[in-house]
Amino acid sequence: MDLFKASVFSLLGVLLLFFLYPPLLLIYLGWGSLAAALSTGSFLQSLGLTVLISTAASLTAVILGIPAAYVLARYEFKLKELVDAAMDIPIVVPHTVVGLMVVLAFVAYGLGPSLNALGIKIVDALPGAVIAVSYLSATYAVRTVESAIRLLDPELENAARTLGAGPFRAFLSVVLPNIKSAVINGAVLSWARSVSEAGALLVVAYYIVVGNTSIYPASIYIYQAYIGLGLDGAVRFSAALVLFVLGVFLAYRLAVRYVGAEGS
Amino acid sequence: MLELRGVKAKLGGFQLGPIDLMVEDSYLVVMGPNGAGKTTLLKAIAGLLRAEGSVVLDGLDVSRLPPERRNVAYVPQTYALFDHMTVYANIEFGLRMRGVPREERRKAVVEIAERLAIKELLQRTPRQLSGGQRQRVALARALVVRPRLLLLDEPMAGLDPDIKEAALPLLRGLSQEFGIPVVHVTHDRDEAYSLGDLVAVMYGGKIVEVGGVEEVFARPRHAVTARLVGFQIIKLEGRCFGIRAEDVVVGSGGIRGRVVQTMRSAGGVKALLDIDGQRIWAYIGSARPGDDVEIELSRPVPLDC
Repeated sequence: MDLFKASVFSLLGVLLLFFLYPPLLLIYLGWGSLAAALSTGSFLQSLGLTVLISTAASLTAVILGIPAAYVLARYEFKLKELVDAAMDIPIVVPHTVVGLMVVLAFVAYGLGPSLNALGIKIVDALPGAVIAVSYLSATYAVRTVESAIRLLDPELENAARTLGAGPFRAFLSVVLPNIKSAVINGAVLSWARSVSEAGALLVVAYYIVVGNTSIYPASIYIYQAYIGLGLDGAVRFSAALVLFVLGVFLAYRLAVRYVGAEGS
Repeated sequence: MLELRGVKAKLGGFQLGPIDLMVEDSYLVVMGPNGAGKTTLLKAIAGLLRAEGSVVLDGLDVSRLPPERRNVAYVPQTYALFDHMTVYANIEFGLRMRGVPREERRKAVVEIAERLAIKELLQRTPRQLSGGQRQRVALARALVVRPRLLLLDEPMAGLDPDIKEAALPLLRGLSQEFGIPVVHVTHDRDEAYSLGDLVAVMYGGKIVEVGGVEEVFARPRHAVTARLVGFQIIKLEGRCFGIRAEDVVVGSGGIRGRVVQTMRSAGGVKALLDIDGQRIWAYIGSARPGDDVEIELSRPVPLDC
């Protein structure tokens, strides 16, 4: 092995260790109390709520993200650079600030009074949590899908159009089947980003009131456990959450492989 | 019949047209250097980009119709086959978009597949096909809908020479067999000469010359055309002439030049000659770089330049 190859492989090893050592240690330490964590009702509620928030945010990201990605990949227009830069704003704004912005825009000002009049609660409610995590995760869906559309030959759509397909039909018949892996990828990235969100939820939805019960999103549940029970108490729930997320990622990998194999 | 009346389009900083052109049910080859606007012209005809002026097909002005309602078939350079569908589904696509019943679709697909000798490929996917097979599938998909016009954008560009040779008669027969005009864009002069009834030459977004293929290849009027069909351009006494290498006689004549370089070629030894700073190729018997020679131009073609 030459020096260059040895160097880059060594650095890859360092990065792998950096990525894998903490979660593996966490799972190792929490393994013995996993059953206890998974039989704690409040934690399961919290996990369920997180899945619900993340799935809603992921769907929102995909539904709004696909058209946005298409526009950015296919059209040239005035102020495109500005629109393009705006897509990255959620990545650069600190998450607690995003939480504050959601409260300002949807509670105190702007749409706030209208939503309030309609009886739609934002703070400590599901809509607020979904808005906050959608804001923070949609960029991942937009960028992933945009890259896939850019790589797709625009002549496919041109051929479909001249063969009799209108623009919507051409998109559904020719573009969408060719970017489905990217759409799944974008959805899962948005979902994973939403599961791990804590900063914005600390402000918008520290807990969510469902009937007479207050349920914490999983990340906040673990933070609470850490504050209340200490490191050992938080480890069991953290390990359970990490294993759950890894399981979803594994399923996603298999799904993408299946979709890829089907398309080839 | 295709008629273009004052067709203009703007694409970024590039201006196409105005283009006026009439093509009866014949095979028109459009030639031109890179960036001349050949593909843009095809897209304007197909309705794939916004254009001014009129595109008239069989007497019907289709200029305001979207591409899906023009009934103009377009085969791009990449063929744009739908890789996520089988060959059968690719060919069937246009018929499905037109709401043709399933059984009629099946008959039409099988018939066109037989005519283009691709019946055995119907259940494959485009990724499993060779370049020549992909070209035939793209043609079948375009023709099965019985278009009023067929637009081909460099359809031979990615093919090996032997497959290209085999594809020429297939393309040549299309216009007559389907009774529709074909507009075929190419860089390749041999391809243009083999296929075209008419040749149009584009430069800077405009058509600079159009005529019968024999006429344009033998006596081009414009310097751009002359270059594209294999002439060398030389300026003598303020006038432009087109001359082929085989028509440059070295050894006698009133023009003085110097041999810059010699090179073997299939037709014999070629020499690059310098004539007052202008360089042209000629076939020579014997001469070495640095030799002064007398030159005569046999059959020079006067050009606009």
